[in-house]
Amino acid sequence: MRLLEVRDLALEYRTKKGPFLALEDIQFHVEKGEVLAFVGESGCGKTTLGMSILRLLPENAHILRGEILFEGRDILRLSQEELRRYRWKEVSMIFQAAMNSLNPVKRVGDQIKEAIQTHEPDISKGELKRRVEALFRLVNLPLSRIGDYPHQYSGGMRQRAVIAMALALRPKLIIADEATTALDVIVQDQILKETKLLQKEFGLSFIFISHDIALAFEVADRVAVMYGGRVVEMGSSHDLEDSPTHPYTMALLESYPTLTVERRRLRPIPGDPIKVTGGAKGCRFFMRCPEAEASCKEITPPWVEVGKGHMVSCLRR
Amino acid sequence: MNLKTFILKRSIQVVISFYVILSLLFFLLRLSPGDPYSKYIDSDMTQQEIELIKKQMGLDKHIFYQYLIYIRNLIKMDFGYSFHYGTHVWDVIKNKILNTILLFTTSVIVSALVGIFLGRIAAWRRNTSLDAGLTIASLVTHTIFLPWLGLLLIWIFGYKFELFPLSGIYTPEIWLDPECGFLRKALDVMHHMALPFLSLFLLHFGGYLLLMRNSMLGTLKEDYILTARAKGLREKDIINRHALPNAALPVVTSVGLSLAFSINGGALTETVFSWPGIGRELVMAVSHNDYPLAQAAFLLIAIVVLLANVLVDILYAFLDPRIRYE
Amino acid sequence: MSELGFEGKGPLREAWELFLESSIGKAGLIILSIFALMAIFSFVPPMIDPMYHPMKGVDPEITTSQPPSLRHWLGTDFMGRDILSQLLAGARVAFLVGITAALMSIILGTFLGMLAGYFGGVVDTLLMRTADVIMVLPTLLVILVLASLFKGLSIWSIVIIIALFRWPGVSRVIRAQTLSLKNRPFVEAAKALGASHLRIMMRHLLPNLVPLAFLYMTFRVTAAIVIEAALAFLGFGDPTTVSWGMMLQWVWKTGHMFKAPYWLLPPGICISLITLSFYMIGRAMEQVLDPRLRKDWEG
Repeated sequence: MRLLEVRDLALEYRTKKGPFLALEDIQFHVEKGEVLAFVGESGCGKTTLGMSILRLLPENAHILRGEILFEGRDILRLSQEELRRYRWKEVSMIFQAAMNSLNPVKRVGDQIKEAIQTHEPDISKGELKRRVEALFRLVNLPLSRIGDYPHQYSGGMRQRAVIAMALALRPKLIIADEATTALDVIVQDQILKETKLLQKEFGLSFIFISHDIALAFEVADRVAVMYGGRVVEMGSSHDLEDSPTHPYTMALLESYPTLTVERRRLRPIPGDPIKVTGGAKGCRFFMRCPEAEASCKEITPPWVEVGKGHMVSCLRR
Repeated sequence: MNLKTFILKRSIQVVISFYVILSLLFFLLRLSPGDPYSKYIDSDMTQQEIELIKKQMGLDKHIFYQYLIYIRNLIKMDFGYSFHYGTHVWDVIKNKILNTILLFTTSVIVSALVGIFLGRIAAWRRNTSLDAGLTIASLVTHTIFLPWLGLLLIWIFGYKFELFPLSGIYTPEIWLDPECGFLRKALDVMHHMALPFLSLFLLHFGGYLLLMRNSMLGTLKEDYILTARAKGLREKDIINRHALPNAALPVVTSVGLSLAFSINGGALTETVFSWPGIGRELVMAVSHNDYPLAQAAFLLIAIVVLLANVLVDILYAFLDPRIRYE
Repeated sequence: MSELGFEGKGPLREAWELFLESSIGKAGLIILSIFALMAIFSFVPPMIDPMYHPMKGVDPEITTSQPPSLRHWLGTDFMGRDILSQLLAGARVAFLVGITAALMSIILGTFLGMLAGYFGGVVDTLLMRTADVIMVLPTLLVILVLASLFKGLSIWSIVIIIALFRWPGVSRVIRAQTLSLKNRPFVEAAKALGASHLRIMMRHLLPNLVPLAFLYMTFRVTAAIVIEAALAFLGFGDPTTVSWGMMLQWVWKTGHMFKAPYWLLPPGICISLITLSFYMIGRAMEQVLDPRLRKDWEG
């Protein structure tokens, strides 16, 4: 049985200006111990996707169809109480802007304790203390700072605390949404390396959400590229890095500087990301695609397997 | 900055503010039309008494010398002589301080607590009819003209239904009767306080409710609320343990900022209900042209407001670690 | 206006449309326009008959307070003066006091806040510490003390004193806004071109500050109206004008509050409702300008 399997997920936001299709035709799975990255520009639906796995969507979000199977259980069918017990215990999350995901008026240690106590209400005080200390050690935070408030931490320390919190219940899957974007490059690198070690050590699965495709290649086993609420290309990091196939993936790669390729010209992707209202047909990238033809506007591109496990959704391939 | 330095710093600020206020008052008196010391001299006084007051206040000396005497007298709690009562101002005022503090603090604290409690409910049930009802009720009670509200309450509950006394703070028969115990007396005061308390409460709780509602709605959109929900906390705990302590902070700030406004209301309420407090004393002193009494009442109120502000700041620092551990 | 976070359309137009989405704002505007009509019609009754003059007009046939009748729709006060005429005249006074006092305090607050923000240093410290002291003072009681010093206050001195004690709130906001504006490229550019301080403030800063200042005006209007009414109620109003507060004082002091509800109710309702309407408009404007209150979460 796969750890997580998402089938044909579609979701819309109902806003004052009308419905807005945020996710459509989402199909993927995560194996045990695997790191899957979702990459795309802001507004492509990657955060919404992460949130829907924990069912943390805002009130105006409506799931139109699809299944989210965690160890075979469809979490879209869980009752409120079942959902509550599933959250953090099975799947935890490291949020975008980790700076703000700690409550400013509560001690950092207490916020981690709270996560444990919620799911293990009978835990003894001593055991709780021991567990929090172990977590602090795990993420290289000094034990003397357990009783501090978030504002007394540096950005990197807060990030580590958030990771410690995400690990508190040894979940099977962790969703990391732009987890290190706000940090400077050195701290970011350090934390990513440490997280990678932890992931290997505990056999954790990760869903890594980022706008940075180079970073995704570095940390993930497989990468899914998203555009306009759809996955346009998915495959192993290797395959995507060596032979990007969808025009959008190619554009994304060109817009990022890399250290390995010598001084590649930094090129912004022309045009604006689109917002889809309703189930429009045709390829979402049509307006900005350098290779677009008239048929791209009319026909929704089917999935094509271009290599083993390397899928792409483009008419021109 | 720890809590001690914080309190120390605020206390020094209070002293400076108070000094500025009393100095301003001194120079304003000198600026006012007519003889400045005429404000301290009643028409009934004999020539001898007038000379004595002039000498006491150094009115024959240079203005800076007068200023020093003024400050010295204030430090000695010597506020001069009330014409209307014919006694020392301090003797008139000292019995009124507690009455004011009793009415004022209970109404401010209760209305803030109720406002926070109901505002939380309104935010929690946002866009329901309960929310709409609470919002409209707060808007109306918050903007009602206070003295008129007082008159209405007296008319309805005091006069029509005779549920509460029309004015005053106690029933003399009960207090003069040696048989009556403390409980009976306390109940009597509470009975008198009900209507003035109710009018101040009605005026204030709406403002706090509306603020709390907005603050709560803002807080519920914060990232740490999402974290709490992701952690699998129950909604009740998310609201009470995570949202409430953050959302209440602006309400506490606003209690401090609106203290001046509340004191205005306090003086009006005291006057309408003949509640023997400093505010009413100030109003009456002004209408009796009893300047020494008016000045003393004002300075006393100013110091009460300043100190209350410090208390609110300390409470805030206590609730918000970002201030406490700077 | 772009400082306030609007794009596209006219910023004012967009703000207006957002404002109209708020039912609280609309209700406030409707109530307010009724009061505006009252203020305009206040000139009519004395023209019909001099006995309807709110201050001087006394019905020759009446010597005590009378309940409503055909001749006096809302009854008369203890001297036989028409309550409706007084009520209409009161609307005029409320607008006059509220709007002039608010306007003056806004102008004062904007200038002082701009000076503090622009020059910084000693000017800033001095102005802001003064603002702190003034802010904790109960305005009504300050005016009472001043009234006792200066022996009675005319309606205009009341207005001026209210303005003098109501600027700190505005000036704080304006100061913060000035601080963020003064390092913007267009101000830097003006400086580099050798523009004087006065010119920079008047031509470059002020136009960007005015919209913000006006948001604060509605709340100042309510404060000014309430303070004037309270002063008049306590008997320290201008004896030559009739205001709602003064009408309430007459009911109260002549002992009619238990027997003449037709006299007790209208002025109180008017003061409360006009305050409510300005307050509602202010809240609706706040919602338009504060993105935190209307932010829609979108993935």
